Amino acid sequence: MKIIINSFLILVFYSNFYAAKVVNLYSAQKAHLIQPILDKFTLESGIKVRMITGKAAGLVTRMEREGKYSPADVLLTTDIGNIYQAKKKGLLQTVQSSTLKQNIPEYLRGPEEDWFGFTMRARVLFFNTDHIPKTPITYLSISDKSFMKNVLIRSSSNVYNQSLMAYILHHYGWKKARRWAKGIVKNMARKPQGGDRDQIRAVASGEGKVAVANSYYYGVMVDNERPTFDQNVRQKTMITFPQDKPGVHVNIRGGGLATHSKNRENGIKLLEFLSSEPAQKLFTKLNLEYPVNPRVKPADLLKNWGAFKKDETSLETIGALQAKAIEIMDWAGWK
Amino acid sequence: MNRIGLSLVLLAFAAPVLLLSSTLVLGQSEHFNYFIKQGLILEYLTNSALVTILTATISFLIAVPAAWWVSFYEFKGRRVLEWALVLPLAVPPYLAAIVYGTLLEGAGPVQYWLRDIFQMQYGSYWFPQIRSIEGMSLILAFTIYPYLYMLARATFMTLSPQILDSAILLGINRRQILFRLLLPLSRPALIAGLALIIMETLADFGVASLFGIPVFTTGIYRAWNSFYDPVAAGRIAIMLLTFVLAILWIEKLSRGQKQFSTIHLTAHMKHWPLRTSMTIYAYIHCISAIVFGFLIPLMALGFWSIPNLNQFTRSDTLEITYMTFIISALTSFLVIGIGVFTAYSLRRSKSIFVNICIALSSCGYAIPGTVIAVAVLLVLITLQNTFFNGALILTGTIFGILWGCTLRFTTIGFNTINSGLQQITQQMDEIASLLGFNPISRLLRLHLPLLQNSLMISFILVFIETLKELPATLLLRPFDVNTLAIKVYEYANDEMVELAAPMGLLMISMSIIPVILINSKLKHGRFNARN
Repeated sequence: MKIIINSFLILVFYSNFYAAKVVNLYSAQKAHLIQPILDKFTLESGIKVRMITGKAAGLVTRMEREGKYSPADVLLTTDIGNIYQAKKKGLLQTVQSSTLKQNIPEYLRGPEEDWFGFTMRARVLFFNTDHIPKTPITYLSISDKSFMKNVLIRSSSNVYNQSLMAYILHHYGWKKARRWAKGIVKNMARKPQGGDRDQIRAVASGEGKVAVANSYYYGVMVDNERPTFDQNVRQKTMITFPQDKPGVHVNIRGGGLATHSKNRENGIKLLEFLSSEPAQKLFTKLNLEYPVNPRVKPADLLKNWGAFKKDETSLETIGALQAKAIEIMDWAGWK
Repeated sequence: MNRIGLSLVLLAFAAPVLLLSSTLVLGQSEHFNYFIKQGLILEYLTNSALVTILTATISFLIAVPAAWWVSFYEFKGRRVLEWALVLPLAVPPYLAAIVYGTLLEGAGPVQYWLRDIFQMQYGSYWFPQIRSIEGMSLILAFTIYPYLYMLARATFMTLSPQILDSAILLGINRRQILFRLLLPLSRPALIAGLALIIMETLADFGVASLFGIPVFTTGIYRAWNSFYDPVAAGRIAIMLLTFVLAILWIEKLSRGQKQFSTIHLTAHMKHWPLRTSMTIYAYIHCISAIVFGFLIPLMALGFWSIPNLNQFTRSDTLEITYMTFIISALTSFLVIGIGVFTAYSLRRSKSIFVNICIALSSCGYAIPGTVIAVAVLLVLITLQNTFFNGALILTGTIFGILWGCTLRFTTIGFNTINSGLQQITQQMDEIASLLGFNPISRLLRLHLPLLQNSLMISFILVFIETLKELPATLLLRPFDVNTLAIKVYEYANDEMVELAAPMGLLMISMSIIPVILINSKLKHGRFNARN
């Protein structure tokens, strides 16, 4: 028994030995997308990053329950909906950093400087090259009768769709949002299934005319530098940025400093590093997302897609509407 | 002593489950009523029930005939089929769902190929929709039928040849033996296997979410991951649990007081020859189970791995594989220990106390992994914060994962061992007592050798289950601990199937090893039990 207790104690103290040079990270961003950037951070700063990845809700619950004893210094997650929930539960603290302010545009930061976006993705439309629309297309127009049985979009359980719905709700109001959701359900080419990539593949094979998906999923499928099993997607589809007045709905991968962080300085250093030019270059190269730092250019492939008008509403507004958005989707019968 | 031990087991298991029912069910929920008002619960219930019935039926139709042929007949290749039929268990259902979804969807290679050959457009021909309730049930059945197959075969192997001989002398044919003798006699094992399949199906989230089928777990996921309302999630889980317990209770009632003791220490039975026409049918039956449940997923993963073979040689891959092995092996031993302990307690006393203990332990498997994982997490953190000033003694070590996984899979160990134990007659116990064996030496010298098959089967089942386990491992792990299942999830969730594939292959290979090792032992076990 003593041995067991001792070995536990060693494990506990082991973690404290490194306290000065460590930052503990809870990340809902997948290890393969963040690890190379963390490695670079450790190399440059000498600070070791210890990480637990998981689903956002799991990590948030864990932090919430651990309370003031939580070992987490930094929480990273995807989608504003999840960041908003962490903020609402009081898990993130304000960070006054001129570096972060300089590197990240205002609408991609929390109004209280308690969360920060590090990469940006656009939720956009994909057309089959045989059905390229002649008139400008908006999010609203794909719920019109003209797209009857021709829209490919995944389930309402998916957080990207929930945020898109929140965007529609914010900009077009409750009535129009409900009509939009109903229209989308009527227009579905098949019942919602699969992931974002599956929607784009289905457009290539002619199951529908238009798919809704995140920009980087398409990026990884058509990037010439990556192996792909999706030749059809390369040949038969094209990306289209919707022309809605408010701009294209963008979302982020982001995070903030944990309220009970024990290694505050190191945590801030990590956040600042993630917004810095070297990290931003890696982000856009690794997963073909848009950098948030205006001084960093997006990867070449993204440049070829052309510039587009982004919706610059503070993302927190969109995050706060997510629960309402889900209710509308359920009401409309969006599975 | 036994009582204290049982109380400890009870406590370890009851804590998360009781916590689940108190804080989660009685707490404030903003969204639970929403699920009812929108009629969502009803939709979940209908879909879950349909998928469960279909999956259980298909599994039964695959597993029982296969077990019947390989246990009683002799034909070429029988020995290979005998263990190959277990292999689909190594394929996690969500990986199979990715494979079949990708192959058979409108944009998949199969339909492209058909369209090329027949010069057709999408939509101008009929093709079954793979991402449907039927598709989901087929995929689940083809990957989890081995539970039933293994339990059925283990029972068939221990049936007394004398009963069969007498039956034949009495003039009933072999088909009647199957339906009138074998199935009724093996009922505890078949029910145990079906119960595992039902619980596994109800707790599945991977396939359901990939295929867009709203089931109970979809509701749990939505309540927790979208509304951040764990109370609503807990309540939906409790509804699910009630559903499972009701099924099990009905079975128990219908079984009544019947005894199922069939082991006899007699000579090894000879396999009957199989008619040629039947042999062909048996081949088609067994081989398709292996091809669809194992070979096709394996080949697809192999094909997708080709651009990323360097994944296998990365330094952290070895570390991850090793950690996965350690966690799975430790969990298996823990589960077997607890399984023997509880099954044995049940045999000795049928008190309410023991029964509560067992009911609680089976909750771990019937409640979806995510919910159990949260409950365990809450208990661990509460203990840690109250007694250790928040020092990461439990969540900072793999202790948390072991607790979570053991709690999840104890029922597999218990069900398997208990169905084995039920076949050891009371008379044998009485003889042992007459010969002066105390309960402990009776356990060690009589029961454990006779239970060898059941123990080994539980080991395989739990080992493979833990290998594939995701929610508890993901939520309860300490810093920098990874398993293969986590890697597969992370890549697959980002829709990077070509990166998930190598990890999936490693995971499958790792589960094949115990299957083959233990299966060779299993045959000998049969002679040991008899001689």
